[in-house]
Amino acid sequence: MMKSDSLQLRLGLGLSLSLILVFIMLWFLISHSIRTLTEGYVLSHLQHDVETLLSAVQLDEKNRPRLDASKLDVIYQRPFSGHYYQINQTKTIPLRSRSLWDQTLEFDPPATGQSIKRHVSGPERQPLLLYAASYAKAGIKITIAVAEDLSPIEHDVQRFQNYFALTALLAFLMLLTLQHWLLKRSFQPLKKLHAEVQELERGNIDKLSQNVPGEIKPLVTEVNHLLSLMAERLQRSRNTLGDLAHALKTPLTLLRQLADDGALAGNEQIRTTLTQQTDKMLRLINHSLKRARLAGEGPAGSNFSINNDIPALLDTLQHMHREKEFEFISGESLPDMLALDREDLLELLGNLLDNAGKWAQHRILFSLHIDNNILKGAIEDDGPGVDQANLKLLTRRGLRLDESADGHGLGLAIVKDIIHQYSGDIQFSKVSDAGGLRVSFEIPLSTRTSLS
Amino acid sequence: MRLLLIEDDVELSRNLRKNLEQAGFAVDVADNGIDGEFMGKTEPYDLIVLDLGLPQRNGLEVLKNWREAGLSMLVLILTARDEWHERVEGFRNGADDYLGKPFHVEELVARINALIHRSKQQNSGSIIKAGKLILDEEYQTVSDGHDLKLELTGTEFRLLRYFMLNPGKIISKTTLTEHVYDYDSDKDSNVIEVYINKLRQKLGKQRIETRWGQGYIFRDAL
Repeated sequence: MMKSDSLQLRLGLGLSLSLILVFIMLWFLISHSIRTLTEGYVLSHLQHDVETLLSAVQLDEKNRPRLDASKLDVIYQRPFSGHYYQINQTKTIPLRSRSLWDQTLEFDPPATGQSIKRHVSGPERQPLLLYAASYAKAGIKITIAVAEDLSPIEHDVQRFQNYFALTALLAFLMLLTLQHWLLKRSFQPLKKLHAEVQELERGNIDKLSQNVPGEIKPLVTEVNHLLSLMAERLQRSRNTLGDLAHALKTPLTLLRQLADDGALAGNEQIRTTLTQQTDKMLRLINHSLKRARLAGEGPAGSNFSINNDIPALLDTLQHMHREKEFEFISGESLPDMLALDREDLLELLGNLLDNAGKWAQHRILFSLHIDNNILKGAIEDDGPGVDQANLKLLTRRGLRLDESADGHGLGLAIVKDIIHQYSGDIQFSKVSDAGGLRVSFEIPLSTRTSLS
Repeated sequence: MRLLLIEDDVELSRNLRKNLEQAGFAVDVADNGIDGEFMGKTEPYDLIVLDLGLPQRNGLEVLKNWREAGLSMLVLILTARDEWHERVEGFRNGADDYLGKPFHVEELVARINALIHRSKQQNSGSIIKAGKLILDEEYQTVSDGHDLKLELTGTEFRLLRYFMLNPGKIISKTTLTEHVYDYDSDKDSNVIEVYINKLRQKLGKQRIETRWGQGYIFRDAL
């Protein structure tokens, strides 16, 4: 279905209307011209006939017009032949051609020396073109009228009009098809662009192809420029934040190691305060930096690739938890590229899987699938699990259930921040009564209105 | 065991070097990526502690270059930017372990020992077993599993650890020197002989065999 605001439809309609208008005008113009031309021809031929009649007519002793029949065309002898004459002399009955039979041509005679041209209805309702001229012959006014049946001409014109209409209709249909094809062809680059934008959204490409017609090139260039600008900005702010983290963490590491220094052995209070405060600062820095680094929705830095990033991530986790077994179950409909920021998703999955790895006894099950354009993931471990009361608390932000498993609180806080940024949802539940924690999360893949 | 520490922060690097040496490692230090990469390529290190945020050449690049050159020494990455994508990148480029800043020195030492043990098929934890001998890395003592427990000096400990991690192999004097001393030490091979003799006195003569012109063999089973 084409929408009413479709450029293609608008152009198509405009072109069709103008085509129809042109054909109608042509039809009228040509019909009119033919009629005028043929009538002009008939008229001049009638004028000749009048002149012939004038030379043939004689007035008898009673001033009645008489004709020498041998000088006349036989067409005037055949009844209703379509060629008629009539010579009026005001004082006597008119002299009529034999072809008129018992009919009379009705017209108002012109003044002497004048002529008229009329469309009249003749015998058998023939449409006649009548030409009449008045002369003074030997002082007597006579009017000679000649008429010709126009119906053969009318018929020809009609037939021409029919042919024309048929040809025009065919031409119109052909032009319409051609025009449709041309428009479609012209809009092909737009279709391609549309597909590319979708690819862009899915993250399979990172910029639009510049190989487009001149009219949309500025648009494409502008979009590409914006894309690179945004990616650059994201990268720059990430780098700046990373540098800040680096710059702050090294001195903080030193401060913390100072707390373990032998010189402070006697002063337990200073040691504790130093450790606690530096730990707190580090946690805060970590958390805020990680939050600030999240790309969230909107143009991603680079996209997450299931085929590349998942194996690499599992490999990393395997290095970190050597005795545990990580198993990934991929949903059937899972494409390679997800239109989600790679770094964000790695952070999310890494934290969740690392947590599971810390608590699991042997195995961690990790599954991903897409349902209704929502990315759904679940991570299950066979660890001790969390009791009902604490399951609720887990959902709260930054809570540390067990301080001994380091980074647990921060990891979950970041996970929740990421889920929040992507307008997703996260749930914690028991795998079974025997224990085990199941974390399931959902991330809508595209909240933007679908292009198609 | 000889380590290379590549870390640009002078203070942290000094502190770590001190702690690592106390833990019985011969430690060399580099403070930028280019020097670090060169040292890693030319000296036979058992393990390298590599900071990622290095001046002149990024740590990841240094690691990639080593692995491309076919070097397989253990590499532990240190980083302030403790992010998962970077962690994944680190392992993808051939890292063996990963530690985010801030960290406790004890954790770093424990990770280093764990890595070395794993590469030599030893148990995790801070002991190395070779036959009946048990070397305690934390207290730097050796015992025969019963009542005998001997204190070791720093160099004795380093030597014995290297032997116990490579039992039954012929180890040349040069190799021993390279893995027990750092770059700046005086590498007089006679000193090695002195320490070998000291170890023989403590553990029995037949533990360390001499192969003339080749080196030494440590016997884990007698």
